[in-house]
Amino acid sequence: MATFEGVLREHLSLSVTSRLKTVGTILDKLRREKTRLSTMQDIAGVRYVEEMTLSQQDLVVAKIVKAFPSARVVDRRIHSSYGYRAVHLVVDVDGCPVEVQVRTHLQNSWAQIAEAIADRVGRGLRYGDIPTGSEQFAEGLAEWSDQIAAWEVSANELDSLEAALAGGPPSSEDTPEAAEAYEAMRGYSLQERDRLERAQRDFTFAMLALVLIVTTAQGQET
Amino acid sequence: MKHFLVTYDRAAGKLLTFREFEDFERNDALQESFRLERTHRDNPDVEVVLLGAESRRALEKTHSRYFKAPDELAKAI
Repeated sequence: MATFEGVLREHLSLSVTSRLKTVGTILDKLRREKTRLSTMQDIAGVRYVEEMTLSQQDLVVAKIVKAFPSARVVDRRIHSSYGYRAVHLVVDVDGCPVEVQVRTHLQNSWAQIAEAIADRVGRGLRYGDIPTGSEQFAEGLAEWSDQIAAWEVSANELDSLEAALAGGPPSSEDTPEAAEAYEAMRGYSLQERDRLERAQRDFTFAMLALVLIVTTAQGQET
Repeated sequence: MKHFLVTYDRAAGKLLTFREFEDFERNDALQESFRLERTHRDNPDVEVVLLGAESRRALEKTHSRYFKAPDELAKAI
């Protein structure tokens, strides 16, 4: 495990952190998923979080797969689990499966908030076993997971567009139509960047409202 | 690399203890995590977790829930 982490950190330059499941959490998972210890994939886990676009996230995953060709990729951005989005890889390390979680900053923020809310209203919230009276939190988290997913797709496209525009306007030898198209694309990219910044403020505010409702309700119960 | 032993009260959203071990102290960290698990085994709200990272700062990025209140997590989006 230490060597595995070393490869990720030193050879792939990924600043990962690791976690060893405790006996209690292993037992919880065995009970919850009616699974066997030998098939549990995340007794040991590694996490990488970075401010990155979806394409950059794909590159990180590809880098890990190149270093560990037997890695199995589970793209939870496509098949999200109760709103949870990330890319997971299961790598065999000395005969033991180790789960590598690759998350963008936004995917991780959502996951941390969802977990903090589940800590307060009931851990079942994370697995679709919604505690009574917590339906609004489950709905809110699911809605904002979808919003974040859409935001990340748009931000990824905009990043590609901005990279293309960074080459500068067409040269004087190009047609006037090319210059016009360039200016139109530049105008669109500025508008889209502005829209995404506003959308990000919206979901920050919405998530904040959600946690305040949870913590206020909890304060009233105690 | 260092090892960090965390006990966290889920219901209160509060970091109870945070202890740092050097890489060569890994076995001590493991033994201590088992001891803490036994101590808190009757309290499902208390989470005992052993984490590995280059620094506390790295953990604050990947496992921010242990270090920040929920409203701070939301503000940091």
